[in-house]
Amino acid sequence: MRFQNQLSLGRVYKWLWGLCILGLVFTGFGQLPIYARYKLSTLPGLKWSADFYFTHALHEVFAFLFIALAVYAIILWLFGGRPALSKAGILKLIILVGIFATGIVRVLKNFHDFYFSPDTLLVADLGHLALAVVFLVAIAITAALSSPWFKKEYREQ
Amino acid sequence: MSNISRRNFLKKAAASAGGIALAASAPRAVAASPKGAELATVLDIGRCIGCGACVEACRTINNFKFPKPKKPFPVMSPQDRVKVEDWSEKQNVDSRLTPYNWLFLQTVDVSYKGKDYLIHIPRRCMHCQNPPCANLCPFGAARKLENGITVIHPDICFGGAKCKAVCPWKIPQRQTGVGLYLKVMPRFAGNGVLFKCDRCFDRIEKGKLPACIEICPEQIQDIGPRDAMFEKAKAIAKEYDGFIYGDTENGGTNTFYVSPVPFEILDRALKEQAQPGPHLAPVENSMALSENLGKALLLAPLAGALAAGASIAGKLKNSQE
Repeated sequence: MRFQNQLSLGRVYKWLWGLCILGLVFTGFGQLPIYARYKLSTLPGLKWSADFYFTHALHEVFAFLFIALAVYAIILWLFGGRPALSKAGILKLIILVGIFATGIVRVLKNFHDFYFSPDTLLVADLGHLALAVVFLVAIAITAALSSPWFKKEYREQ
Repeated sequence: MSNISRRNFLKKAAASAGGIALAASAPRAVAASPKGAELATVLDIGRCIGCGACVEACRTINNFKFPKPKKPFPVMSPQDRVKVEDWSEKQNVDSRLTPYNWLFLQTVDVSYKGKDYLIHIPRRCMHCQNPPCANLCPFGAARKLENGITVIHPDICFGGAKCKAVCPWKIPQRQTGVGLYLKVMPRFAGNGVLFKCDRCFDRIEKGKLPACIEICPEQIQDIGPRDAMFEKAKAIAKEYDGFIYGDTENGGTNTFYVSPVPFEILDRALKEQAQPGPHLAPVENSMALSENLGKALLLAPLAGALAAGASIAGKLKNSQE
């Protein structure tokens, strides 16, 4: 008998996931003109944080990692007993899907031959930013309450 | 007559004549463009006489869009990093781009193939085909319209000036004390609104021409579907063995300058003769890296699936052993 309240993704996965979220948040907020204003870019080694093109490219690199890790987890979930998500897990998943959807629109709009109406992009731009903030709040609350992604339940093995 | 006074004379004469024409004549309609086709302009700067009528017309027609800042400006923090940019007391400046002057003339004296030229170059937003200002604006304030015109929405812009930072020609100009930031956290975020040429999109919607094009006494400018305008630019260039700028710059723009003098010479002259404002140097596609990374992103699910497949296969192998 053992707890099957989480996917067995391993320590490396968790570190990569954490690094990825951290990278996305830092480079994502770097899309706002705040790092130069608030002198973060004057700190040693952080001059690049005020280069919008660089932080944008870095954001896309972290997004690649984020999507790859998410697909990895989804496939292992499908083939790994499909443990049930907790309410906190469902909430975070919904927010992440929203961030992913608005992010994809923002990626596609950068393509030369793709066109979205200004109003669609306004929703995607503001939605992406707002959902990122909501996700950070959700992470903070669930961490404070020690709420796991999956329900705790005993499974006979 | 000095060059400056000659220009002032020409400017006043053309502006008065053009102003009457703008007000009284039935405007030429913008050449019909198929849905989805982008509008582009062609400027034959070899024929520009530097009268400044386009500058005056732009200022007159777009006057109602100019900022009306509230003073005193709110204190912004940190004060050593956020500077007030106030052009409201210098609204008459027409020798550079400002929030109150979206088009200005650069003038250079150059020689090419043993011939002297006085070249006047009307400068304003190039209206890039894949505009970094619109792509990278975090709030969706800078936006590209379906007809290829890039505009900045004054009610959404926060004034962070990111659009100016990423613009290869540094076109948008900021005015402090206007816009949305005043209603949110004026001390800590934002700094006004950025302004630039909007190609008279409101006039185009009504089938009219942009003011600068309609008023030009020499008719050096034209506007229409991009392909047609590029053909026209090539024809003009062929006519006097000239050169085109804007067709490939920044991945392609919707502005084509045609000149009898190579643009490298004009760009060098702009610097040597201390002409303010945008350059005429070649510009790589600013969005190229982003486009390539975006395409790579489409492969991310495959990478995740392959890693998961390898992980599952490894576990199966271990369990069999």
